Order: sequence, then structure tokens, then C-alpha cells
Amino acid sequence: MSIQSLIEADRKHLIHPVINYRAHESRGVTVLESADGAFLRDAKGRARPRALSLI
Amino acid sequence: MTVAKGLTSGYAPMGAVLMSDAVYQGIADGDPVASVGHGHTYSARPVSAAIGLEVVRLYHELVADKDSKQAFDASLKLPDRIAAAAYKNRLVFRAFGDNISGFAPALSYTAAEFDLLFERLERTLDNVLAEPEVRAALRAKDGVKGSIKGGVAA
Repeated sequence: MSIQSLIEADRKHLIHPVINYRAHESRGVTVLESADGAFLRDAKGRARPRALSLI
Repeated sequence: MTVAKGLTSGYAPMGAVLMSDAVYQGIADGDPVASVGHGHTYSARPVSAAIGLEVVRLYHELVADKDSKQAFDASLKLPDRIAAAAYKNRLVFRAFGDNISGFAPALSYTAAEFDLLFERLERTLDNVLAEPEVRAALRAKDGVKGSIKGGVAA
């Protein structure tokens, strides 16, 4: 699936913790592509350490 | 609606909350800026999600018509027929009232024992399918006399 179709599927079917639903609908989800240890990498290649288990 | 367990056939922890669009819209319209302050604590677990996807791929339905997914009429008492045929074929599983057959083989099952399970299950379903009332229920759906279109999937 393409990043855009994943964002659309998420918008259509999923809710996420600690969000405003309408804001999430307009912004869309950040798609994560991979992980290495505590670091998550998004589809644009940006990595950040995960310090919240619920995402 | 809260759901769990069967999402991964019980092999990995997974739970979910399902809501209708009416409920979703009600929450979404509740406050234009505030976040809904619930947390899932642990979510987006790739192993459980992968098992969940595989479970969905493996689930099959017992339907009277495979194209329309039309269910068998309750008056047919299909679960009773399946349970009776399974007993005769020396196979133990759960034939639920809503035409779902449940299997929870022991983790020690060998490949040979799975072969035996599927052999007896196939015979069980074939026996049920051969019953005149069940055949009639299929014919009534597709209107093709003597043809078993759709039918029972194992």
C-alpha cells in the first residue's frame, strides 16, 4: 500500500489515543516505516526515540 | 463494542474497541479543540497485528450461498447436524449456534494429527452436506437442481 492509501485507510477506520478526532481527520496520521531499538523511523526517513508505549 | 481473544485466535494478546459512525461523530463533535483523553497503554504491536491478519485470512464461513454470503436458516439447525456428524466421525470441536465451528487444537498437535483432524472434519461436513434438508437449502438459494453451488467450506 502507498503511504497515501495507508493515511486514507487510517482516517476511515481507526481512532488513536489522545487526539482530537476532527484535527486528526484533517491532518492525517504519521506513517512509521521501520523501527530500530527504541527509534522509530517515519516514511520520510526521520527517526525519533519512542518514549510513549501507546503510539 | 469491545472485542479480544478471537482476534488472534488467542495466540497473542490483542483487544479492540469498535464503534459505529454515529458514536464516532458524537465524540468528534463533542469539543472542537480538546483531545479525547483516553490512552491505549500498549498498541500498534506488530506481532499481534500480524497474527490478527493471518487469523482473518484463515477464518471461513458456513454459508448457504458463497456469492451472497447468505446464512443458513436457523430452522435447519445446522449446528446440531454438524455436532452429530462430528460425533459419529470421532472428532471433538464446538459447533456454535450461529453456524460457526470453533477449533482449539492442543499446542502439541503434530502434522499427522492435523491431517487426521482435517480428514474427519471434511468427512463430517460432507455428511452434513449430503443430508436432504441441507441440500435443499442450497438448491433453494441458487435454484440449480442437483447442483451444490456454494455450500459448506471447511
